[in-house]
Amino acid sequence: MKIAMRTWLMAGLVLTGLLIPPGAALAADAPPKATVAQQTDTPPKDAAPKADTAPKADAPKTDMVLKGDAVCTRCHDESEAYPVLSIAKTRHGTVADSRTPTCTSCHGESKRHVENLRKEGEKDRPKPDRTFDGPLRGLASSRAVAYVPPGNVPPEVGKRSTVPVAERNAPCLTCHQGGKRVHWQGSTHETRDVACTSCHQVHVQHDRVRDRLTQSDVCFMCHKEQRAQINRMSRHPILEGKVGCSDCHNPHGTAGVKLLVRDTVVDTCYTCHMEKRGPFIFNHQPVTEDCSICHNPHGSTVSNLLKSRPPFLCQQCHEPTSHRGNIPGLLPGTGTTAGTRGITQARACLNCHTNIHGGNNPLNNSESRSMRR
Amino acid sequence: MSRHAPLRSARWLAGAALLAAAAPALADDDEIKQLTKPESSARLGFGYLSDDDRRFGQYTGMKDQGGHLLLDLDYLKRDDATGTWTRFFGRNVGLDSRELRGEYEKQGNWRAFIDFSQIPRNEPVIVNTGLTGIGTARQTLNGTALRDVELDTRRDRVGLGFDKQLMPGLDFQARYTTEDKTGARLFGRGTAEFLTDPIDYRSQQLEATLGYGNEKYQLQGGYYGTAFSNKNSVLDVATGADIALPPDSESHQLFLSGGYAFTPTTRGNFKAAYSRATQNDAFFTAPTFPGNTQTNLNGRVDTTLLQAGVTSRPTRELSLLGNVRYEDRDDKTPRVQFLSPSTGRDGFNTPFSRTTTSAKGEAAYLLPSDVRLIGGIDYEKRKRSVLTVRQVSWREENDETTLRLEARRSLSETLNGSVAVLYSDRDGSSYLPANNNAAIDLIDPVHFADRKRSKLRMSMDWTPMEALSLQLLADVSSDRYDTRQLGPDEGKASSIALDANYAVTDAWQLLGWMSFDDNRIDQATQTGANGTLVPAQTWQAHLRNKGQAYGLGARGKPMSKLDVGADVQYGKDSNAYNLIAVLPPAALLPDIDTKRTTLRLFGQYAMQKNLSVRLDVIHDRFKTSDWTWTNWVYADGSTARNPNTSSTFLGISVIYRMW
Repeated sequence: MKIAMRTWLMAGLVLTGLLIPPGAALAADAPPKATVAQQTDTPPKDAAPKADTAPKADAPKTDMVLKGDAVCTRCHDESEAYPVLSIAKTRHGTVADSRTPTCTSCHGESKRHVENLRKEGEKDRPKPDRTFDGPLRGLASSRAVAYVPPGNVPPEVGKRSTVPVAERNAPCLTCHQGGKRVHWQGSTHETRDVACTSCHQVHVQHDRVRDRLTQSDVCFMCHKEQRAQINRMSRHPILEGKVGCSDCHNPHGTAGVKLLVRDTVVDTCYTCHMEKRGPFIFNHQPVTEDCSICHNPHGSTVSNLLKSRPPFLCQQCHEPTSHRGNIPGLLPGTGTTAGTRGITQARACLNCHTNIHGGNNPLNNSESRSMRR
Repeated sequence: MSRHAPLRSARWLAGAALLAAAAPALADDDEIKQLTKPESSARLGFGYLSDDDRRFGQYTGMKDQGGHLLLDLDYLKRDDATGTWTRFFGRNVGLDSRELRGEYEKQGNWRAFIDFSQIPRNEPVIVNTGLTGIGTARQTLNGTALRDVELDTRRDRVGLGFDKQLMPGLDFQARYTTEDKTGARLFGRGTAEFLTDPIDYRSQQLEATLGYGNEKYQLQGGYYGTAFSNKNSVLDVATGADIALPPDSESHQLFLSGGYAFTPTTRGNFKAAYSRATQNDAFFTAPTFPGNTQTNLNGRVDTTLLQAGVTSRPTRELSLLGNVRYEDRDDKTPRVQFLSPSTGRDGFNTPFSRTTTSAKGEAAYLLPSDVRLIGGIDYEKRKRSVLTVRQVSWREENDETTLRLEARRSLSETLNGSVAVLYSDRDGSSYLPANNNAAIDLIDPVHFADRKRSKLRMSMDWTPMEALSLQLLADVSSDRYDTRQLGPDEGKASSIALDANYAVTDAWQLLGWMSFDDNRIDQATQTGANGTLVPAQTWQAHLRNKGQAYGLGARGKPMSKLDVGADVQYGKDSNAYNLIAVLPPAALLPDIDTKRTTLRLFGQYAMQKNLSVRLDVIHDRFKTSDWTWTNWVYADGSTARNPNTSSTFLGISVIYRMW
């Protein structure tokens, strides 16, 4: 099989080489460059001249990668404008697993494309039945010191697919419907026309969105406000790839709010911050209801991801009895007098109310109730 | 991309053709192997950081000036005949932020893995203190002379996973993680004494699920359990009162979720879950309220979740969605008296229960112009338990209704986008006064208060020419709190972000982005302890946070063997407080500006097909006018500072690839 294919490949390459001016050639020892289309499935718009070439009658009928792929790979090898072979590096290309797809599982039988059956007035070869978007805009992340494996690079600019999103997603859902994707239908992403390939790169070994180091680059293509927030002074280690968006969110839909991985905000935060769970003897009510009442998990200019600096944050709920309504200021004094540092600087209200998430001190002492001890 | 595709293809074909002519055997097994076999890689190198920099090194594992080992591994092997994968993965192996993973899988049958991850967190604030026992449960004030102390924490997590396909459609999956978090954080006892929070936690999670699926329906049921343990139950300070630390706790959840396709275009899904969380860690000391003989809280919270949804696309143009959700958090912790009653407290512990009911409905219709019109309504009702005596104004119920209208176009090759408007109205039951005294009931807590929220959101994704892509996202929103006296009043937020991506040539690509955001909230309260509204003592703050960020990047391939890239990013955040209050000038809070600039460069040269050398340069600069710690001195003499930082990282490494 390999000999037959090699012969055919050589013949094609030599013939093509003769048609191209020598000056256009790359260095002979250049490794084949992973092109954009290879990574994205995006058909370059002007690939028609090559694609218009009808498969030769004597083209090999042997599969190269997937079952039944000969009908595709007799045109689409890695030297073609729509390279496809790299799918062999992926789980989808593991043919020993009987569940893996064929080319036509995803792209359809595409008879018009294969046989170049043009409609009247149609200039280019008809596209396959189902084409997919190049998923992502933007550049590969270089923000971390860690090395990003080859192939884990974004596609370049290209036109968008006009195949309805539901139709694009259908072949994926044929297999990937249960488990963590059981709530996909009706989720915000599904109803807002996000295609699976808007985020995932199917033909590459390293899917950028499945690597914590580069995942947020994908999410920030739409969620740009969060891109600015994760660079603020107080933040999670998202830039370093130690926390990924998917550690908190399940983009495929959930039964909870905000596509969170667990059923509630607090339960999601407890997966890493279990010490805040309690229940305590003296609970702080917002802590039991929703962490995001006080915190912005995507980043803040205030320490500990707080939405506002204490005492302003605390004054959004607490009555102005005792010292609680006092004006923050920078006058000397570390007590609770209005205008002084004591209620303003260092940890502000938390200087004293140090157990602000809840206190478990059983002593009969007012400091226990006010979460100071 | 596509503009250059034929040329690129032609060049590659030409090169390949010449290659074929010169060495006919080259496009052979090796070539095919390279294109179709999973690729492994290893990187070994040396990095140097020019200065100590706890901001750059906050999470990277590189905070100290000097050399650092750069080591990444990704070994991936597949036996094609059996579909068996073997993988060893390591990232940042030479740093404190290392990750390791080993995985073995027979695809379609079973898989097992073990992984390890470290997350360092180096506190950028540096403390000068005489405290000893830092990071331990026994600390002594001024146990030594004042000296600089750097605080940090570290998470060490080990994960185990096992998947098994029991029969076609029936899968079992188990995940277990245990994470130790150790170290010390900023803490304190009043404004007099600097302390550190001694952290020695272990958090464990176990999830086991059994799932079945076919074309018609999918079901998944399982167990999710967590356990938290803290080696320290109390912070024992050599003099003065002790501080209780977070208690051990655990939770157990059983869940069942699924989906069912009623018709090819109508599908339903659901989830039902029941959780029990308990906290019965022994008190660090016996309760002192007379008659209280409890040795632990006997804390228990039961949570029930029920959710069901239906989506349908009766026609190509019309889609419908309905969803309901019920969550009951029932805090069953017994009420026991711990304190002597006084104004503002009855002395009992404070369990909080809450029931949240929500519903969502949405209809979308695709117009002939490929614009989809979407209308939706969301409703949420929260009902909370009520304490006998309350510290703040209280509301038993909140109701919020949200109306949404959106026009979205997403099927164009060149111009897609959306415009959405949203309006929500939150109100609720009558307020119950703080301290049971209506006379001092002046502030509606921010999450209870009546609120009208409106929002306009726009997005655009435009490819004006083959090589250029533009994305725009903008939104503006307004919150109006209908507070009775004081508290939050009005909030405004706006943001705009623009991205551009330009393929200059086949070999060069540019990216630029910028974003601006502006968040404001006006709020009021009053000085004085008598609690009644005294206009002369009221004061306002107009808080404002403005952010701006810019990024510019380039990737290029100036030679066939050389890849280069550069990114520069600049961000500036400004916080303003704008107090409307009578204060001497010396007391006023200055605005705080924080700037961060980061420049990253890399170049990678392919010495041969499977061997490259890479150079990384990162320059990071942080500057802030934050006055949080400026001139602040604890009574024990401790001080702290948040230093500006600047450092440069230089790394050189060799990358080996194999197929």
